[in-house]
Amino acid sequence: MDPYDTYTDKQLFEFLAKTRKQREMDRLLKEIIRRYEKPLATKLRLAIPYDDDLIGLIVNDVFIDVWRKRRKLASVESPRAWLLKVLSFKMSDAIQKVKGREEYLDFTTSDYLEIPENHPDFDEERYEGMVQKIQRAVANMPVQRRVAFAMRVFDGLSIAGIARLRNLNEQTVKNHVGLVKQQLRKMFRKGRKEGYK
Amino acid sequence: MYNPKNIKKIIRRGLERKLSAQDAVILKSAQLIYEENELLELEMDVLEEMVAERTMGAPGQRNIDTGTIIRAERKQYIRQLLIGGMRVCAGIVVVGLIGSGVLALNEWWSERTVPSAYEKLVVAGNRVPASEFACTVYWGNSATVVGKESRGRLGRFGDKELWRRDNGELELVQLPSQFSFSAGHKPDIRVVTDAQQQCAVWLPDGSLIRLDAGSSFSYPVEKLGAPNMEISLAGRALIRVREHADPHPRTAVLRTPNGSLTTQAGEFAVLANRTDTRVTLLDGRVDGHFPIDDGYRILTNRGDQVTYDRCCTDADGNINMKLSDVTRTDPWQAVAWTTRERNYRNVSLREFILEMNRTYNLGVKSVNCIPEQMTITASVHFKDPVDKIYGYIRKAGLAMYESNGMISFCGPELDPGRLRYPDGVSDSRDLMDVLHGRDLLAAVPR
Repeated sequence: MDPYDTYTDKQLFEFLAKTRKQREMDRLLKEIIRRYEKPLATKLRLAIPYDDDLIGLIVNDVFIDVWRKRRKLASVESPRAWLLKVLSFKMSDAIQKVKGREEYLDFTTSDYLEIPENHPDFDEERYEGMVQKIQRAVANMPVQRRVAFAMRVFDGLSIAGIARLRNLNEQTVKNHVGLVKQQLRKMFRKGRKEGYK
Repeated sequence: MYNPKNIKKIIRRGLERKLSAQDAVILKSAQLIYEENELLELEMDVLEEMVAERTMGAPGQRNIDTGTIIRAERKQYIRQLLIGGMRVCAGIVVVGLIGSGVLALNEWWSERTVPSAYEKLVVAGNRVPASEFACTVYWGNSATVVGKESRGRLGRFGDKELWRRDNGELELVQLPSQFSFSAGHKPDIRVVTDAQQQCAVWLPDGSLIRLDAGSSFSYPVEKLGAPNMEISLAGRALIRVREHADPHPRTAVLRTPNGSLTTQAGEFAVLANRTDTRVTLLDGRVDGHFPIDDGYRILTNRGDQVTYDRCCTDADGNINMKLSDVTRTDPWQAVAWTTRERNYRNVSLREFILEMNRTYNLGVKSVNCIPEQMTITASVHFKDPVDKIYGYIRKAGLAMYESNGMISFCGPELDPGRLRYPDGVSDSRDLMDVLHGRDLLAAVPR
């Protein structure tokens, strides 16, 4: 049994970034491929079910990127999210190259997972109502958290920007925003159980 | 509504292209309370679940080989390196080309647009237009007459070609070395202006010589790589020698009938007659070497002037030579001959006639008979006929006598042998004393 089986994704990435031994690097890459080849291919197969070659090329490209950027992988916070992002970029690159083909055009316009508001029946009013609900829920939270959250989520400022504006540490801002989100999730889960709408 | 389970279900519907409008609203609002990474993690969970369920079947299982990935990455890396290297090379070449283009353009532009000291002194509207320039170019036995209507390539002199620019200036263009002579006599190119002619010639090194009427200069045909450029000048000229970026810049040597002038970068007016030389600096620096003890002068400031005069022979037969110190004068006076209209106000009549003699080739024998105190006020346009000049001279109260195409101001020529002497006059010498009250024979032609 391969010892890397027991590693978390984060550990795999960190180790691949750290090690200089070719054999170890090969095995680590092999493990990453083993874990993610199928999910990534699955996503691609759902998007472009008619082009197995292209799917193979894109997945290959993702792992080539992993290998190329192996020295910097230690700084990746969430390897799974990172891989999906890389896949997304590679997919758009590949689709750009075959842009003229209608089936790809259809795919690019019907993917609402990343940008839900592109959905043809997107209910703006309902969404506004949900945003207000979130705002109301946030209103009861401590000022520092509320401000940090509002600036981050509603004003779209970066963590560094908020930290500079509020004269706070970046990690503090991150914590404030994270705590608000955590609380909101808890609140809405509870609310549902309690009939909160 | 926002619990991960529910979000995952929505994500799954999204992946399967079954996202409803309500799902889209929930997903959009979930983006407010979930970090992007968290949503992607959830998406990966969904994908893993789908793999586990084998909902997608297992078509096209590829089992990617790590070796393939590593080799592909290496290939891509090498390709990128090569492409990058080629781009850098191409960039360097392009930058080099652009740079040299810009430098050449800048040089060309500054040559034409940055006004020289002369151009600052005499505005274009006041100058004799270059379209009026005319001269004759001699080379060996050939003579090329350059008129107002001459255009384009006018001739080839050894390894140089003579062109007339659109603006009327002449240009000597250096041809590649294969056109040069291997042996034999190499005559100089001689540019000569006649009466009422002016001419401007650009030399291959970018120097400019503007000749006044009745002047000439010689330029050697073939001295490629020679340390100095030697030009001989007789008459009046305005000379501009360009500064070269060369670490060992060439020195231009201008030889006049009396001494020589050297410069590496300078603009100056020269009046070089048989007996005198006058140099006036407009810009840069000029060193003058004259055939006299302590005959070295340096002109460095605008308007600096030096005059060398080999005027006359004394009773013992010695030639008197005078070299002035460097004096500051109005440079305009030195280039007034380049203007359309020359205005003379109470100037010495002698000077005026000498000037007109050069411009119109009047054939003046001597000006020594003209009283020194006589002055004249006149305005002469460069196209004025010679009769107008005669008119000015007569108006000034000076009698002219013409004989054999030459003009004299000393009265009619008399043949002493045919004269019947009045009483008390025994010889021609006494007779002339009687007639003019002065000794004409003492006059020394200039």
